[in-house]
Order: sequence, then structure tokens, then C-alpha cells
Amino acid sequence: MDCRSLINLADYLLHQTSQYSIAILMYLGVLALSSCSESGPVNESVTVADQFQVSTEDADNKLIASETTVPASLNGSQAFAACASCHSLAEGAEHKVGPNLFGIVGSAAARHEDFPYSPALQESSLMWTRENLSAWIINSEILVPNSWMLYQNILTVAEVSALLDYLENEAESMPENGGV
Amino acid sequence: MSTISVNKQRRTLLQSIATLSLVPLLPPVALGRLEDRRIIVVGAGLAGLAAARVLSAQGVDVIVLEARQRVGGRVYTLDSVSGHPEAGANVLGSSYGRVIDSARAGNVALHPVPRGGATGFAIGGQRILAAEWENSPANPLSGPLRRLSPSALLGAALRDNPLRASTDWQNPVFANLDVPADAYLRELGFDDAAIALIDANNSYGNRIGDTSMVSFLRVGSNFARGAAMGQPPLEAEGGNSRLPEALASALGDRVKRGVDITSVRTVSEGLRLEDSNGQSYEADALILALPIPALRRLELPPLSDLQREGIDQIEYNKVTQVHLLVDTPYTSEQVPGSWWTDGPVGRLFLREGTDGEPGNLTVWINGDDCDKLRDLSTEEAGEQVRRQVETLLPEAAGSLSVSAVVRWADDPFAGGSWAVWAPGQIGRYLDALQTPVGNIFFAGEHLARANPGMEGAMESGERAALEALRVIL
Repeated sequence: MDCRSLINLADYLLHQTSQYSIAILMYLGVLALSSCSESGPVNESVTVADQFQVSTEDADNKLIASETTVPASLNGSQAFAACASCHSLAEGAEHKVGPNLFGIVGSAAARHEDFPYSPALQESSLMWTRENLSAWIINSEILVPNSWMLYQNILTVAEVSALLDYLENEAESMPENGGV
Repeated sequence: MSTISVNKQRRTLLQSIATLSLVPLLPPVALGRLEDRRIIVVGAGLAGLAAARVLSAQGVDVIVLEARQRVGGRVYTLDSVSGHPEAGANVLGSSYGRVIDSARAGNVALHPVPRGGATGFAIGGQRILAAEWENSPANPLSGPLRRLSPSALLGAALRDNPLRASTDWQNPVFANLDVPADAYLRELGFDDAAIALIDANNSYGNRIGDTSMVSFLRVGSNFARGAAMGQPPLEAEGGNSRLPEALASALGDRVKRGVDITSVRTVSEGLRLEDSNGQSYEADALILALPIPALRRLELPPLSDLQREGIDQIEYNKVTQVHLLVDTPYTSEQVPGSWWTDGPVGRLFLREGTDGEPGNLTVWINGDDCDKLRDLSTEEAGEQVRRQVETLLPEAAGSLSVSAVVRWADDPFAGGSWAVWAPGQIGRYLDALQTPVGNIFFAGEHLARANPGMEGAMESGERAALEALRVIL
């Protein structure tokens, strides 16, 4: 797919609120990098911003940041900083504004009897598979309309995956405050 | 808005999504140990303090530079005034996870906001008790709207609210709602008199024609969600300033007060900031956690045209507060304590004194009405408002004295209470204002996404912190 078609498709998807459009947009982003930039291996000395300056042929729209450091990917523990204010992780730790997440992966949604979940989530019958949790983190209110987790995702797909590994594997070793 | 610029924005968004998606494909750049990398946060409001909290917890060397001698920004409890009224952010929702968690960590108690007493209405200077509103000759509304009080009027317009998800207000799908509020209300059947009442005390625009309907709908959907959650709104024990103070206290001497940054430059080693005394500070990454009017004061590296335009264009809601001490209670069955007026004093909120202390009457003036006080000195403005209140409430004459005057629009570090998005500005500027410039990241209430108010500020700080963390890893 060429660069222009990708942009047109993204434009269309931005007008949709389907469950899948966000995830599709993420993958489109990856595709966009291959078709909207010059070919060749990613060179560390070329910043992401530089690639877009080349690719879009749009001087007005260039990212200014020629000195931008290439962003690294957050690991699972770092990504959890986006969750830690509202969620505890240690086993038996008190709920915060959101429920305790110990053992969340593979569990049923709305499982804690002592937490006031939204009616929408209670009635969802969701299982927290990795796929469902990813979709929830990427856009909870699209996955379960009228649910109450008020979070706009700021993690990449890879970071969400690292976060899920972290929730799955490291919960037991976490201090009660989740590291924050 | 031209089609070209819309497409540009979409492309920018696609690019940022692409940038995010690219991240895992790139090898990490070895830059040394995390604690050797410095991030500076400018602004010790809730956004900046939230960013610093996250970074500090990750072991980053972070400092916070605050121009004022106090932290908290637009969270500002008037501690020297009897009753400690809030000059700034006054209510936090029970869904405010970051604010509530910070309060817990800092041992700041929260309690439900006490119920206010009765509210009366004053239209054209004529007082109307709530029970008499519908049939009062001074009620300017017609038809079925007559039974709605001025404060309930907007609620009626928001009943069939198309916004559901917390981020719908910024979703291009709902761009059809990002229109002048008066035009939208007229289509709903609101006449000029009804629209004038909604304009009289408008917190989401300085005048109704420049207020986006989607801003009203955003607050309406937040309100409805809060009601569904069934939790009461909260405030901090001893005043909301205790919240930013607790966050700052946890950061210790990493928060520097009285440092007014005036410029940011890109240098070979990273970023160099300079303050008004000529002192410089160096950082590997920077978070500007400032409201837009405060950003305007800074000399910055070149921004995109759209980002610069947004910074130049976006207005903040003008709010002037005059706090009056009430020595002798004036309320009775015929005289409610709080008032909603369509006149120059806006809204009056009474909080009764406890333990024999005087009560506090907060006069809350919004929008262009604040301009009428602009040329007066603080003392003159306070006295003029006090006299206007006594004209409305002769029962209180002689027992009111001015305890504080707060003019947010004239505060160079705030410029108003919060960003008011004029029709079309959300789609045009919101993403651009959040776009990093090199290793400079942006936070502040105006970049709130899923949450409003104090929580929105902290949400933006948390996001900026993780963006900055990615470039120093």
C-alpha cells in the first residue's frame, strides 16, 4: 500500500469508532513507516522526525525536532507507571480508585466482590485474556461502552505487551504500592 | 478550517501513531545510567508535580522549577482568609485516581464537599426565590423552559448528550458538535433569553458565541458519569493546596520555588534553560507543565506553525473572585445565602462560618464581565464588588468586608482559570500542542484527555513523564 492510500485509510478509520479501528491504526502506523519513508535499514543517527520530513514531502508539516533522541520502549515495570495511581498490584493490597490487579491475566472481569465496578463491566462476561486486556488498555471504553476506567492509552503496542508480561509474571514480587 | 489543514492534522496524528509503533523496532540507544540523565519540569502545578512524581519513582534525576513562591498553580487555597476558601480548583471527582492516590500517599485527608445552602436568583437586579422562579414576572424564560432555573437550563440542553466515552469530546467523529454553543442551543429551541442566561455565568468560554458546544457536552457527560458512579465530589481537608504541597514535599529540595524560566535553547549537550536572573540549567529532556498563557512568556526553539498558532490563539476563561467576610449572618427564609445573578457580580457562594468564625461569601465572576474590573486597583475592584453585593443584599450591608481579590486572567503564570476551546480549536490545535519539540514535552490541564480538571492535569503530566522517560532510557 502506498503512502497516500495509508493516509486515506487512516483518515477513514479516524472517523470510525469500531472496536478494531485503533488497533488497525497502530498497525497502519508501522506500515506507514515502511511505505512513507525511504527504504533501507533504520539508521540510529536518523531520527524518526527526520524520516517524516523526508517522507511526507510537506515542509509545513515537518516535525521540528531534528535533535530528537530516538525514543526507547518502556519495559513492563515502567509502563505500569501509567496504571499505578489507580491500581495496586500486590496480592491482597487495597483497591485504589481502580481494583487490585493481582492475578488479573486469565481472570474473569469484575471479579472482586468488594469493588464497585461499572454495571457495564459487570455485565460484560469478559475474560481477561491477554487479547482482551490489550484491547481494554488500548481503549477500554470502546471494548466495553459505559465502563468507568478513564484512561487514554499512552503506551505502544509493544509496551502494552511488556506490561501484560509484567502483570502476569512479576505481580508477586511487587511492593504493595506497585513501585510508585 | 481548510481541508488542507485538516488533512495535515490527520497526517500528523498518523505520524505520531507510526512513531509510537516504531519504537519497539528500534534498538535502544545506550546513553548511560538513568540516574545520570536529568529531566527538568517547569511548573509545579499538579501537571508538573505528577510528572516529577512518576520520574522520581523511576529513579530519574528530576528537578521542578516553579516561578511562584508557592506550588500548586491554579490549585490555590487562601490560607490567610478565614474559612480557607479556594481561589482555584475547588472540587475533585471521586474518579480522580491520580489526585486521590497522591492524597493518600501524602496523608492528605479528603472529605465530601459540604452541601451548599439555598440559592436565590437575581435577574436584572430583581431577586427571585427558587420556589417562586417559575411564576415570577422577572423570569425571562418562555414556554416549557420557564420552570428551569438558570443553573438547570444548561443541564436540559445536555440531556440528549451524544458524547459517551471520556475522550469523545476530542474525537473527530464528533466534530459536528464542535460548533458555537449559541447556534446549537438555538437549534434545540432555546431563545435569546435562555441563551443569555447560559452566557451569564459561563465557565467554558468568555462569551457564548466563542464557546464550543462540545465543551458543554464534555462537562455534561463527565457529570452524568460521576452521578452514575454514585460517589460524592471531594475536597482536601484544610484546603486543596495541601495536595500539591504533599506532592512537592515528597520531592523535597528537587522542587525549586521562585525560578522564573524565560528561555529554552537546544545546545549540543541537550537543552539549556535560563531564568529571569540569568542563571542557566541544563537537561537531557524538559517537560513544560505550564498553562498556555505562561508558555507565551517563554522563548522556545522553533515550533510548528500550528503549535505556535495554538499557543497564540487559545484563550483562557477569565475568572475574578472577590472573597467577602461575613461578620453577621444575613440569611433567613427569605434571604438565601448563595445567589445566581445575571449581573456584574456573577455567582455568590456562601460558606457559613464554623466555631464562631465569620462566613465566607465568594463572588465568582466569569468571562468578559471580568474586564469591567480590569482598570481598577485590587482595592477598588474589591470595594466596587462589595458595594454591588450590598445593593443586591441590603440585609448584609455593613457586615461584609473584602478579604481577598483574585484575578486569574491578570496572573502572568496562569492567564485565566483553564483553556476554553473556541469552536474548531480542539480538532485544529489539541494534538499539535501536545507534539514534542525535540526533547521538550508538554503537559498541563489544556492537554487533559480522558479526565477533566485536577485529574486531567495530572493525567497530562503522567503522559509527558513517560514520553520524556522514553528518550532518556
